[in-house]
Amino acid sequence: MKAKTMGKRRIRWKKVIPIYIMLLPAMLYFLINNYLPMYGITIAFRKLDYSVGILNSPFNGLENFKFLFASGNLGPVVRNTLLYNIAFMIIGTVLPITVAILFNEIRSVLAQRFYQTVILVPYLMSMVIVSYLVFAFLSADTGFINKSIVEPLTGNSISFYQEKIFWPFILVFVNEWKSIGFGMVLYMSTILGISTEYYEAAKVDGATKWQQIRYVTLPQLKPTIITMTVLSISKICASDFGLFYQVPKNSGTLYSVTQTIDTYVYNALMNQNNIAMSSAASVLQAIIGFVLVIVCNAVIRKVSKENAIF
Amino acid sequence: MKKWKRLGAALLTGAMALSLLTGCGGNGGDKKNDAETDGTDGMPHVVMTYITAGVESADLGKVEAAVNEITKEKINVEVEFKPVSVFDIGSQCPMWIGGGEQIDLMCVAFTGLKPFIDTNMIQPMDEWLPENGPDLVKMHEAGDPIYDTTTSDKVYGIMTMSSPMGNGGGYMISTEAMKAAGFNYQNGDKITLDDLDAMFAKLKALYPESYPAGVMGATPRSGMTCIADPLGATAASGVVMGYDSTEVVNYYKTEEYQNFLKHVRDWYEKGYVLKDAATTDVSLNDYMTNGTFLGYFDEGTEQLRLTACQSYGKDMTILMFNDPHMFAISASQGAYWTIPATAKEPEAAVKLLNLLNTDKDLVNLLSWGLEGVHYEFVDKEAGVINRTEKFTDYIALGLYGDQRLNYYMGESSAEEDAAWNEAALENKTKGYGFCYDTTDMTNQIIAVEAVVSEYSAALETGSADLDTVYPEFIQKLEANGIDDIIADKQAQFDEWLKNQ
Amino acid sequence: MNGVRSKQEKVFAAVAHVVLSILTILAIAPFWLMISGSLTDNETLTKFGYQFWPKVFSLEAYQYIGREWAQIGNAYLITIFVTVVGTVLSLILVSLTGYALSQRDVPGLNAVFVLILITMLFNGGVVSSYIIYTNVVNVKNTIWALIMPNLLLNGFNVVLVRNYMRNSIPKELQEAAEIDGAGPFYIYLKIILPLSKPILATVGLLTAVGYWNDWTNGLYYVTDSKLYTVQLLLNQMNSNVQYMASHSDIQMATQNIPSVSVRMAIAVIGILPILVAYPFFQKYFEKGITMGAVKG
Repeated sequence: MKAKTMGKRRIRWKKVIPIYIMLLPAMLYFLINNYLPMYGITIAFRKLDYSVGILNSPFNGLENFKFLFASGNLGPVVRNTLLYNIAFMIIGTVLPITVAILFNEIRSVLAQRFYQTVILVPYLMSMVIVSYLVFAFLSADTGFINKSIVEPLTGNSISFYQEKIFWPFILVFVNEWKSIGFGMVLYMSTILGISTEYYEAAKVDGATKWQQIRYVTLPQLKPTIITMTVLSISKICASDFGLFYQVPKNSGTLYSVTQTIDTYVYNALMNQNNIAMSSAASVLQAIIGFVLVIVCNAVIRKVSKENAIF
Repeated sequence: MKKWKRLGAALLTGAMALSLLTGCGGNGGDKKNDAETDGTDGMPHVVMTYITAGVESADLGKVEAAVNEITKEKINVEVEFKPVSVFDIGSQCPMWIGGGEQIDLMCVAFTGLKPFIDTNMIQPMDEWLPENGPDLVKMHEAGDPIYDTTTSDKVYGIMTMSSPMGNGGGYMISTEAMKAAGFNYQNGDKITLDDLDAMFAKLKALYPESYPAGVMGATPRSGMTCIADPLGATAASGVVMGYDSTEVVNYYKTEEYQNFLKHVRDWYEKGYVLKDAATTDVSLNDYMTNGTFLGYFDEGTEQLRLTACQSYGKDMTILMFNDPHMFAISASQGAYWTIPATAKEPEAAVKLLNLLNTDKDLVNLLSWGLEGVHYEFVDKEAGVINRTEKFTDYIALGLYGDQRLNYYMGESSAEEDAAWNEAALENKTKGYGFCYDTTDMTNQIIAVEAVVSEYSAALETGSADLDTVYPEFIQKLEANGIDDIIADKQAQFDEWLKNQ
Repeated sequence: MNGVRSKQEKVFAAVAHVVLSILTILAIAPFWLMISGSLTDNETLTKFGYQFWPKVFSLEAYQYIGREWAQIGNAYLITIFVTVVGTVLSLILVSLTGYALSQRDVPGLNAVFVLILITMLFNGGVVSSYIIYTNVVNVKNTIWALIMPNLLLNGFNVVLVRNYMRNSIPKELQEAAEIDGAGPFYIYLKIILPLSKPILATVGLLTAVGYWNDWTNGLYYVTDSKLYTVQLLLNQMNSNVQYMASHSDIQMATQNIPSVSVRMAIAVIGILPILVAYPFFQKYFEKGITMGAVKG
């Protein structure tokens, strides 16, 4: 208690200097790896000219951003991006936490190791491979779902890659299927950090399992949940290219429910080979993400200062 | 411990470099290692991109050495290959050139030169051509479409001449299946889509497990069934139909296109087309080899037919929709060799280009590898070769130099090629020689191409319902300004026609 | 552990087993499909699609890859080295940084934190990264080209570690040590690191998978084939197979590439080693020292 109040008043150099030294290597790395290249962001505002070097090209204002708004197609694309990300955020929090809590109830070390390894398998696969496997299930000619379920029942087959209605579900499913392993590991590491004392105290008070989860586990997970949520909000305009491009096999028919800002930009610039235009799109995404993070954090800070992430 | 020291060193260098960078805004490119510009004995050292399909051939180094033997002797130039996968050209080349690395000769394949010119990534080569590329000039004057026509006044690229030239369109069908269905067409016979209807019906009855119409969304082929010249751009900016028209029209509204869609939709509904056609990524090769497909739309040259026979292990017959013909040359159809902004030896690079288009040994070395190692002669006189056991140690894409100088693999198609060339040069569209400049319409074209990519795969495989989806497609094209682009193209075309 | 388990605990454990078994099936089925696909005759595969049991068994895909074995073997060594060294370095960096940032009584840390957040959102694109890593810190064709760019440290990991150290490790521990006169480095090494095992294991996993699966660094910064990683090679092969198979004009050169089964075989070869190694890694996910014990 005493140390805390003291720390607030004056700076203790004996502590501060070593802490700064500890930060040094990482900051140097961020400088080289992130901040120096960030000068490249200016490419978004330049008319590319390789003959003078791309970083010396003349500025052309917002010219590179125009293609984004030239067509009326951006609306549904933005809607898709936002809605999918919100869905991922909610399901991607609830599901891994549930599984992590359940996982924690398993006492056998062997079973724990088995489940953990296996559930992580999808996380290790690349999206390209995932897209082949999804196709193995959904193909109209040879897919399992058609061959073993739909055709025997109805005599017909479903052309999944031509039917929009299925895709919001398929994409959310594939995303969770792929990421649940890591999400579980992440929340589990926090659960492992919870002192057993809390649970023992709760048991002594006669708390049921539910109450232990409700009053011990979840509150302890709150900071991690908040952090993860704020971080995903920062990426709300971005999307996993593989998931939205490769998994639906870039099927045009599905664009209205599968296209996100990233795949839209990719398709639009396919024949342009213009890094200034793609850079413009990513700058716009980053700015929106940044503003949202600042706003979110400010709101959290207002509600409960302790939980603000910075 | 050693590792640590090296990391430390790396971090330190970073710190020192920081001052450099913040000062001048990081024009990092300029101070690249100039040391290697001169090769041995002060010989000009040319760095050329070497396009691979992903994996570098095991014997690439041997071929590079053999190439150097020729170039050092004949033009006093040393050549260094810079391998890049054909998939990564678009991302790697801007990175290298943006990073200021020396590249003297760069291949741009299957994508237009326009974006490269607009950003000065490549330079015009006119000033070096007369002195260093006299044979290129001669070829151009003799009528070979070897110069790129992206801009009207300057030469930015030398096209890899293909053999034969020009376009065509037909349907390649398994001979055995065709005969079994009771048709006796010969190679090169003219057919129509209606003829195919009849043939497909018989084939499907005969081979219920197979699909007679091998259409796939990845490669929409409607353009092969009619004469639609996109005038050096893509069909999204309008086309002229037939050999005599000078009117730019919306390709997707033409009778020919609609007719194609009607047929293919009919085939789809009758089960002649794979249900997954729009999205499948199994290759045509696999589908043909395992008998899933019985035929497919194809350019129709004899070389392609011979290749097909070899790789599918069965005889194929090509039925043609139209005669060979010449369109306005479009940079997006071929491979161009260009001089990037970071070239240090442009003269030597043009010399090399000149040699690539005249030296039969050099072209064949790059195409087939070393004689006696990767291939052997069957008939030296006729230029027919066959593969050896080590053939797969050197696999190249046919992107280097005049492909008409190539030996024939397995069987000669010299006669057929000559006939094809003759026919093609007779059937020129009115747009031949013109190239649409897309500068003013860039954003509209991006928008319209996005619409085309959304609909074409489903429509051209018959996977989408015509009555509802087709009108939606047309409406969206128009909403995104296709008519403005067409008007712009027409105006430029009229202007060009006036000056002819 | 502590005597008889209550009935409720048993119910929970049973539910846990059911749920996790379902997830196991969902995870294993496609993986199984992948292995089965890689062992199926290519022609059958393209005609009938993937099956859970090879309709026509064939090793041609592995034989095709086997031809490049000399190179793949070397690539495995490089990949393992890069993954191990990169992950260890990364964990040192991330734990130091996370610990420093988790302090509540050092001025300026919030500003540093925001600076790190910015790196997660804004990037200058590959071209400018390329310029930095070839001209400023020249890593081209060194092993560092595979370790340094992008993978060594990222803001996401820093945030995770920092928050764990801040929220899950009781601050009283550190305060007590400080009063005893312990310096930050001592506290970091003796108190914080041992208690951060679970989160470091998590972040380590993330980093290791990142290194293992990366091929872009190799593509951009390595031209010396001795430094090729497994994923770079596999990626090249994959695109090669795809290209050869879809361009009829060159396919005669390499007839009979088992294109679809090779894809699956490549995926199997890419994943298996990390899957085999994972269980050894798992002990770090077990509960560290009980907090109470340290406190007392």
